[in-house]
Amino acid sequence: MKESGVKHPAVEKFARGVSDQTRDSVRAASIKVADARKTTLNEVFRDLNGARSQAAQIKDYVLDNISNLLSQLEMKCRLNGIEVHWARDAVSARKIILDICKDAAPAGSTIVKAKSMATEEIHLNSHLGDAGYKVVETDLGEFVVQIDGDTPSHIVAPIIHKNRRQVGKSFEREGLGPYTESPEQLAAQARAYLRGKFMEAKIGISGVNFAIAESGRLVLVENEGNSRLSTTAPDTHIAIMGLEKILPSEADLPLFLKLLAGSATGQRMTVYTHLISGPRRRDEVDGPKSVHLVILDNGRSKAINGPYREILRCIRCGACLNVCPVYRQASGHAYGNVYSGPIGAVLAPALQGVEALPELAKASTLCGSCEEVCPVKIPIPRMLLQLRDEAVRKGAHVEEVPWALYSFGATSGFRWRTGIKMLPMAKMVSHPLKKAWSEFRDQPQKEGRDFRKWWNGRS
Amino acid sequence: MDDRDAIFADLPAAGRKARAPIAAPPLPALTAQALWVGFAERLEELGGRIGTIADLDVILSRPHIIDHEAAIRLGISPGGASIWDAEVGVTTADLAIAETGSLLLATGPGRPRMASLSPMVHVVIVPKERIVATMPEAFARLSDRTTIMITGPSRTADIEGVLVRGVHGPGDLVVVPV
Amino acid sequence: MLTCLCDIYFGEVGIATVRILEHLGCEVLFDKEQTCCGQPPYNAGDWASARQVAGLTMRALLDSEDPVVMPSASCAAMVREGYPILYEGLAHPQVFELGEFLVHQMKVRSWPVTATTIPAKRKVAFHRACHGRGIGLTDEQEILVGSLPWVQLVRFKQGDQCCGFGGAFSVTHGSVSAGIGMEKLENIMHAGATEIVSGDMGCLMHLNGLIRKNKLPLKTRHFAELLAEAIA
Repeated sequence: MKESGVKHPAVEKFARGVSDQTRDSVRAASIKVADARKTTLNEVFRDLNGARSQAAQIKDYVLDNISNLLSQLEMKCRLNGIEVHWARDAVSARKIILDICKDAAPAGSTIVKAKSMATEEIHLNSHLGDAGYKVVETDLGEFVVQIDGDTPSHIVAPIIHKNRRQVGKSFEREGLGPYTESPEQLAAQARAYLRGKFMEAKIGISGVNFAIAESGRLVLVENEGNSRLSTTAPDTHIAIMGLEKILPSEADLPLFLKLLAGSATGQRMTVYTHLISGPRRRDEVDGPKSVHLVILDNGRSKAINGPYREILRCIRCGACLNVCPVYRQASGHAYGNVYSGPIGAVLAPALQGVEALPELAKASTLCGSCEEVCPVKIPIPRMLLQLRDEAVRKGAHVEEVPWALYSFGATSGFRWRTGIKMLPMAKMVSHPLKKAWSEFRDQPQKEGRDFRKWWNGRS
Repeated sequence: MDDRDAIFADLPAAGRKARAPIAAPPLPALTAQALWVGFAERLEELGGRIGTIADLDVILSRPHIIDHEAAIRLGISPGGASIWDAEVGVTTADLAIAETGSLLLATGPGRPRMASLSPMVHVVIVPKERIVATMPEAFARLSDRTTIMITGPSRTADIEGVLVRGVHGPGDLVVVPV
Repeated sequence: MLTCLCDIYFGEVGIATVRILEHLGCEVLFDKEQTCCGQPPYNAGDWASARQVAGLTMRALLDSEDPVVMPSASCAAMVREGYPILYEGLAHPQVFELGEFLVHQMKVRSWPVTATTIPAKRKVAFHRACHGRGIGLTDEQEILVGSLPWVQLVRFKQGDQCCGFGGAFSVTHGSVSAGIGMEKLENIMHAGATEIVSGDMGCLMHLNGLIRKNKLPLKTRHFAELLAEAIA
């Protein structure tokens, strides 16, 4: 689209197509959660800044010692009866998971799924669907997104852009029950319907919030109970985690669980914190008969050694999204990536290479609100600037604004002063940048007196 | 080279500096009774409630599943409803945490995971001395079996931001100190 | 340091800055060789160009012992935080944004009013520029503006949020930039303010452009202009 003169980057293009309803509901949801986050965290922590520093240090320790901690995790998990698999990339991860599924249940079987960004990162659902498995998202919001063939608009409130009537119609269409607009009744319909899926599913798939190296335990947090059901009722549980999602010790959990709950939803604590030690032991009554852990690289090992390594501290709370003015305006799917908002603008190119996504780092005003709220103090604005520099150096991005010309003018006092004197003549010239500016704003005018004339005129 | 080798080849080698120890906040010296007051406040904020043994008669008239220890403490025979048919689950907690209003339940013999998960009503029996003030204290003595920390009834606000309880897990959480 | 925006468009802000510093007894020097701090190409990722421009600024302004003051938090942030990134090993240059210089160096918290005519009382919305976040600025500018007897500072919703300018972002992501700005302007009008005061000309240029295009009942001023208005 060139009507405004400048070619629109993907985030801008998408933002122009967002409906007012979606924009308003995403913005309202973001503001609500951002406010709840601030209130709750300042109640829970006497020294919030100190808690964030501590969490950042622990995560840096993890990155510094990642090889040892991964080896320890693998050994402890195996001792617990968890089968550990290593996936270099998305292709490998999908193959590993599909092979486990084929061993566990025939095509046509139901797989229940808890919300997991790692599974979206590797595009798992469609891969399993193509192989004949019936993958059912069990988180209420994700379930609605799935049956509507829609996309989530907000990380914590995925169907905030939908109203109760739309959900009621969708449930009626899918045969969950008679039409209703009551959120309580709709939730009850979903509960009953998905119960059937939990009962028949042979396989449950989840992500991992924290993997504890010293004990080989997988920690999953949630509010509804669908993650527990997905990882408890079926005979086989497959968990997939990015390799950086480790914590060294169980003693680290209170700090991180409080920061995650407060930062993500403004809660003091999530309802369920599931500490999975392994499959059902011989003397236990229920639980999965086999548990698999897939440890995913997919660009993380390279990122650890690079200039964006701090992004791997991320605990996926979404606080940065909720305060980002660009996210509030454009909404989640504008970033075209499972990771959106400020975290996505750094993580996606860090994992895939800036050549793959050269413009994402420009979808930011560098206001710094994200860094202010990040529970692990990731310096996102600094990394966005570094990504912009890398993109330009590698020729992955060509600047719209002729900065070399600007710096020619700005590297000599004489050229600069002359250029300023000639600016009124530039008003006649039409330029794509001027058009892009004036699509929404009047052009700036020279206001009042000229400083240098005034300065020179003083005795 | 298999995936594991390829990954480890790219990761930075051995670790460097030692970590700073976790700063432990000063622990308040509170009696179990004082802790229960704090716990009850948090539980009620979350939409759960404190119950008494007397309440249980009504609750247990419905199809229920019950863990071994609770059955002994309450003098009820276990068995009856199946996991998916039970309307009430009765379990014993290993620990209550006052600062968050949480309960820790480990699995084990006679302790079905599903008892605290699938029924709509979850009753938790907690011997009065099994309470600590803070999460760090609780996490210092975790069972090595699979454990669930429960902080209030199941909830969602996915539809129009309206709070609904009992989406997949129990909507009614009743804690009975004994 | 004058800053490029004041040089090109907003001479009155530069004049006001000199007048208020002189009002407090400072001797103000202006090196005519100065151009720009280099922030625009730096933010765009053209660090080669940015280094060239920064080099001239360092020669023109940073050689002497005298404090360097500028009516812009974003320029101060660029010199203090950006230059050490452009030139590894460079110590953080000691330059000052105007508000922090007045409050912390000159120890002024209440502006000494000497004007003979007092303007009418008016409701003012203060917009704090985002770049202040990175260099530890808090409420210095608001304290000074709020101390003027005819100014009533009003709070408005999402007061901390960015204005949406973001430099080249304003043209590469025009609708998002304008949307963020319009949200701020609507919140300000809702709070009953008729004037927006800030310490950064980038923000004001962007908001002003939106105000004029949409014919909104608002005007924008740099806080230095308000302080200058208060002296004879």
